[in-house]
Amino acid sequence: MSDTHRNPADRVLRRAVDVGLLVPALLTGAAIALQLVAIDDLAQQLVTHWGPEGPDGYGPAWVYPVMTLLGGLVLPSLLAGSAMRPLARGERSPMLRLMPALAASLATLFSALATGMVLTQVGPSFDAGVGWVLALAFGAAGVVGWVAWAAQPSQDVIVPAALPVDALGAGPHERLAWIGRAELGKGAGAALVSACVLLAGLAVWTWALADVVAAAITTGVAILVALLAAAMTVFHVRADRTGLTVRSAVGFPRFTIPAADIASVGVIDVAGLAHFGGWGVRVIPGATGVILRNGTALEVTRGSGRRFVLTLDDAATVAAVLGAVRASQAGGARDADQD
Amino acid sequence: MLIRIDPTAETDLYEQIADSVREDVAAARLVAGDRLPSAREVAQALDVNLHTVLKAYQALREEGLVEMRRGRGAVIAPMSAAVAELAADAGALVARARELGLGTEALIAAVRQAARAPRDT
Repeated sequence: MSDTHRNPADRVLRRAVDVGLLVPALLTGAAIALQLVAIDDLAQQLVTHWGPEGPDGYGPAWVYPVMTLLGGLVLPSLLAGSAMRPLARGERSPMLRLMPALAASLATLFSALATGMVLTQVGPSFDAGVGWVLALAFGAAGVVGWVAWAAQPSQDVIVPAALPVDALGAGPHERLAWIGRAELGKGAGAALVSACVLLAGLAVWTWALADVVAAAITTGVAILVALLAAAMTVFHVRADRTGLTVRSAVGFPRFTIPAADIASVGVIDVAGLAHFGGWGVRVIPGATGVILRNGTALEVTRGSGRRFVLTLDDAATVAAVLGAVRASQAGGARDADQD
Repeated sequence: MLIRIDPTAETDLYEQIADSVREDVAAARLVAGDRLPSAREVAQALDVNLHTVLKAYQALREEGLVEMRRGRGAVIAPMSAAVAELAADAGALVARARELGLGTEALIAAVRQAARAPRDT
């Protein structure tokens, strides 16, 4: 958090742009060009899906360049793009290094997959079979991801400093408690619900088709996703004399920070993707996050220096309560020493 | 929802808990439809008897600030909007009292007196 030991800012940012935006653009550009050269007629039918017994799905040839564009350029650009603003602001974290590397890796995967699948079918000399295409694409994605990670300077964590919050003034005998909820953002909640409904519908449909194996799998996935969604949607939050307790509405996961282990509390503006690599319950080096949306969050730093971040509308009040609890604990310890 | 109590204060504990809710309603931090935490959770957090919290909720219910709903527990009632509406008037009253050099306690006593006095209209 000090300015004395800052990385040369433009080098970190430049490398991130190279790796996370330029590489995907070049790769997908080359891949789409190759595909267009190989495909004579964009409307011709090509195999688009392989089952255990060989090809079982067909579609027009233009599906491949479109898939390359979406999976190889649009999605990676969104991922890498989320890291650019924080980097330009001077923030640093392994997540901000990971996002561009992930973008390069994804771009490689989609470019190689789509191009390989096209070339096995319409190319003049390349007929390796789809198994090899898969192996090569995933292998290349792994290698490119690793190189993209290594090509960027390592980043010591510099996150926006939490704004300190004044402890709530409390009398020596006063007891404070804050009880409330941390909830998923409305858009994310709607997306999760529709995903669950969709999966449930899919499960019912596969049962109706009497394909028992597929039905069992889709049902299992539907139940798993619904459980995960339930566990990540609403958290009960309690700040009292014992410290901070955060518990999912379904009981698990739960987090407890004893009052004695609170080193400092503050309010922070959090960006899920850039700071924690996504949303939900996130465990990253140096921090644990319950990140249900972007925006105002409570930050509690533990005695070990590890940060706990929880997105909360009324983060300032909770921080003030925990500050008072911490102060009264320290006061109590002092009194005990004097006795 | 923030609740603060002082066991050494003269006011009953349940009144102090109810006051915390009343203040939040007056400041519109709690609005109609908001759910209050379960009495058990409040009791644990404040380290007080469960019945103390239940008594506070009961008092709020009798005032019409809170409704008990099956399956949802205690919920802030629509009446709370009227209380929040009074906030501006209350602010003006406090400002006037300060002008006259009166403290909060004196003001509260005056309001109580006015509430007890028979209406002369």
